[in-house]
Amino acid sequence: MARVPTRVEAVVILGAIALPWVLPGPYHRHVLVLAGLFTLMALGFDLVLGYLGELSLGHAAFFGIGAYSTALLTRHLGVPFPVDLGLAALLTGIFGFLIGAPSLRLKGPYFAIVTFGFAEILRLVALNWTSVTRGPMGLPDIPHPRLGPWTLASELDYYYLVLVLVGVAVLVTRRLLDSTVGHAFLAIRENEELAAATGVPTFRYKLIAFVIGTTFTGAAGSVYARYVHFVDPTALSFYYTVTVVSMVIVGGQGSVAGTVLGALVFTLIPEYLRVAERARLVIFGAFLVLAIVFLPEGVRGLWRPGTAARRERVPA
Amino acid sequence: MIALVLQQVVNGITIGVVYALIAVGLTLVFGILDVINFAHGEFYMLGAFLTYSLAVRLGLDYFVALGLTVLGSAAAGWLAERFTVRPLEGRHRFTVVLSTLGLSIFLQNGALLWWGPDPREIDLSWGARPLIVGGVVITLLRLAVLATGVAIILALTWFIRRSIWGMAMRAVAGNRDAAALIGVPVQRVYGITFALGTALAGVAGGLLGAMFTIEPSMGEWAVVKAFSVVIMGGMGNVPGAVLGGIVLGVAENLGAGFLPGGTSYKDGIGYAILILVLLYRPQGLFGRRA
Amino acid sequence: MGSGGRALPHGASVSLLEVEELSVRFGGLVAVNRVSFAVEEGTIVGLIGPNGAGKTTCFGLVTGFLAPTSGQVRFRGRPLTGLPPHAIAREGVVRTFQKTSLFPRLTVQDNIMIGQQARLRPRVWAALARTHTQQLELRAVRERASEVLELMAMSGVREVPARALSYGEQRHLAIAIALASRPALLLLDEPAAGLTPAESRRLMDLIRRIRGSGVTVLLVEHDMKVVMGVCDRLVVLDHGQKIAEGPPAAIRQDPEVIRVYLGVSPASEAARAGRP
Repeated sequence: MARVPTRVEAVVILGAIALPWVLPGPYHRHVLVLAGLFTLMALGFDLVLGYLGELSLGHAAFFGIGAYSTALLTRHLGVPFPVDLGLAALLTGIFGFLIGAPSLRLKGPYFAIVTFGFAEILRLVALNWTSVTRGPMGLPDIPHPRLGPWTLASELDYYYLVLVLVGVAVLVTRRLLDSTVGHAFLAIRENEELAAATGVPTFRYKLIAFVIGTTFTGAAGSVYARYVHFVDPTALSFYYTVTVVSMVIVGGQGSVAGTVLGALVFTLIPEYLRVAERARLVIFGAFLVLAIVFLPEGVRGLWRPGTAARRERVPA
Repeated sequence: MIALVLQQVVNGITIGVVYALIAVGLTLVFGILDVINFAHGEFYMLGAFLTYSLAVRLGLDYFVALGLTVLGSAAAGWLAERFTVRPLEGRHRFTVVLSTLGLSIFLQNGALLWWGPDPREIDLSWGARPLIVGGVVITLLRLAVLATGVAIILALTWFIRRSIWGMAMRAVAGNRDAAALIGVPVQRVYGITFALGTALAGVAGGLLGAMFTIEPSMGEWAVVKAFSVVIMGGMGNVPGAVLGGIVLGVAENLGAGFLPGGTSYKDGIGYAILILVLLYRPQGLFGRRA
Repeated sequence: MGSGGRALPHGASVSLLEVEELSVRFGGLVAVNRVSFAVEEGTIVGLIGPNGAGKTTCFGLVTGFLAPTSGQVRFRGRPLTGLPPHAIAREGVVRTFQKTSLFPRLTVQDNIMIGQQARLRPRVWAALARTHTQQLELRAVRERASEVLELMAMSGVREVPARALSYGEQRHLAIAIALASRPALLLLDEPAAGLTPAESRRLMDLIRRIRGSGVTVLLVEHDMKVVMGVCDRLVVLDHGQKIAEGPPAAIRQDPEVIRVYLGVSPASEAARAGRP
C-alpha cells in the first residue's frame, strides 16, 4: 500500500471538498453523489478482491439490503437519521456474515458463483415477498435525513454526507492495512497456503474483510435509498455488481486511489453516455471490454505505469 | 395423480434436455479454456432472436432456421473468443470474467437496441397439435424440441469421442501443455470449443424460443440455469451436465406442480440447488474431486 | 546432544515431537504405514529414504496439511492431529515446502515480517483505533525481521522482491520466513535441493546455527553429505514404513538401508535421487 505523500492527500481532500463548487449545476453534483456512493461500495468490495484476492459477485445484494433496511426502518418505524444508517450498515454486515461464513470456504470460481447465487436469491425474495417489500412496486416516500434543525435535501448536502462516509471508509481501510492485520491480508492474497503455514487463520480474516466490506456497501445503499426516495428490486440487480467489479478491476485492485479513480470513471461514463440514450449501455459494455483488453494495469497504470510493484509494500 | 406426476416429469425432461444443451456449452468452455463465460446466456438469447428472424421474418422453415442459427451462433462465438478472450491469455482469471461480463452487457443491450424490448414469439402452425400417450399430453412442438435436443446430444457425444477435433479438445482439457507439445493447435482448439459452446447455447435458444417468449433479457435467466446444472454435474463434466440438466428440469416442474406458491419460486429451485451443491459437494453430484 | 525434553511431574520425560503409529491412505495406496518416531528437543533429526517413501507426506501429516487415517502426532505432549495448519504453526511447529513457497511480489524484508504471524494475535479493533500496543507490535515485527536478516546474512537484499532472488537465495528466504516466528520445531523439506556444493556447505552451517539458537530441526533430505554431516539422528523410511533409526554412523552401515538405497553412499553424488 504505497503511502501517498501527505501533501498530495491534503490537496486531494481539499479538492474533493471544493469540487461541487467548481462544477456548475445540480446535474454535475448529482453525478458526484453517485460517484461517491459507488466509491463507497467499491472500497468495500476491494477489501475482498484487492486485498484478499477473492472475487465476490454478490455485491448488489448488500447494496439492496442497505437500501431496503433504511426504507423499512424509516417508513414503518420512523427511525431517524443517522440511526437508520447505522442499523442498515449493521444489518448488512450481519447478512455479510451469514453469506460469507459458508461461502468463503470456497475459492476462485466456486466462490464467485455461490455469491452470485445468494445475491440472485435475495433479489427473488425482494421481488416476491410482496407483503414486506411490495415486490416490483417498491417502497416509495423515503424521507430526507434530518439532523437537528437541518434537512439534507440538495445534491450538495448529499455530496458532503457521502464524502464523510467515504472518508470514514478510507480511514478504516488504511488503518486496517497499516497494521499486522494488513500483513495477514497481504499474506493471504500473495500465497494463501504459505500464509496458513506461517500461522494466519485465513478463513477468519477473509470473513472479517468480507463483513467490513459489506458494511460499507450497506451504508451506501442506505444513503442511496434516501437520495432517490424509492427502493425497488432493481437495487439488487446484477448491473450494480458488474459496475463495482469493473471499477475495482479496471481502476486497479488493492489501491484506494485506483478504486476512487475507477469509481469516477465508471460513474461518469454511463452518466455522460445518457446523451446516446438507448445505445448507452451498449457503449458501456464495449468500453468495459476494451478497457480490460488494453489496460492491463488498470486506469491507474495509465498515469503511473509500473507502480504495481510499488503498491505491494507491506506497511512498517 | 400418477398421470399428473408423469406429466410434470415429461415436461421436465423436455426442458431439461434443452438446459443440458446450454449447460454443456458452458461446461465445455470451462473444461477446455478454463474460462467461465458469463456472456453465455446472451448467446442463447441471440440464438433465439436469430431463429425468430429467420423463421418468422424471413419465413424460412423452422428447422432450417435452427440449422442456420447453429452456424450463426458458432461464428459469433468464434469472434467473441478471438477478440475478448484470447487477448487476455495469461492474465489474472478475474480479468477474463470481467471481460465476459462486459460482453454480456454489450450483447444484451445491443439486442435491446436492435430488436426493442417487446417480446416476440415463434408461432408454428403445427406446434400446438397434441399427442396423448398413456395419459400424458405432449404437443408436437415439445416432442420436436425433445427429439432435436436428444439428437444434438448424441451428435455431440459422437463428435467428442470419435472425431479428430473432439480428441484434440479432450487432449487440451486434460493437459494443455502436453497437448501443445505433441502438436495440437491449442489456439484453434480454443476457438472451436468456444464456438461449439455458443452454438449449443444458440440452438437451445432457438428451441426454447419456440416454446416461450423471446426478449433481450432472457439470457440472464438462462445463464443461471446453466450454472446450476454445470455445478451439479461438475465443472468440465459433459455427461454430468446432461444428467444435471434433466434433473433440474424435472425438479423444477415437480416443484412448480406440487409446492405451494410453486410457480413464482420455480426459478429459485435452480439457485437453491446451486448453493447447496457448492456448499456441500463443490465437485458436483457426479463429479470427482479434481 | 540435546536433553530429552521436559520432565513430567511423575518422572516420565516427553520428547518435543512424538509421532505414533501414523498412517494415511489415499484410496488403495497406503502412503504412510504406522510410522513412529520421536524428535528430542535441541537435536537435528533427518528423515531419509528413497523417492516415494512418504517423507514429505509425513511432513504434511505433522503440520496439518493432510489428515491421517490413523495414528497421533504430539507436540510437547499435546495432540497436534486434527488441528488446522495455522493452529499448528501457532503451537511452534513451522515447515518449509519442497517447492519453494514465498510471497513473490513482496520484498525480502516484507516476507520475513509476514512470517511472524504465528506469534501475533492481531486485533481488528486495536488496528482501527491505532492503539499504542499496535504500534509497539509493528515496531517489534520490524526489529525481529532485521534480526532474522542478520542471522541469515541476507541484510543486503532486504529491499529486493522475493521473485527477483536467485534460486539459492529464495531457498534461504523460505527458511528465514519459517524462522521469523521463533518456532520451537522447524521442519525443512529438502533444503539442499538444487544447491551447489558450496551452497550446501553454507546450508549445513546455517542449520547448525539454527540449532544453536534453540530451534529443534527435523529435515527431509536426499543429499547424503548434508544428512550425514549435520544430523544427530536419522529415521529411514521406505514405501511408507520405517525401516531403521539411529545415529548416522550406524545407519550408514545398516544392511537394510543399503539394500533399499541400492548403492547410495556419501561418495556417490551422482546417485542423488529425486531432483525436484
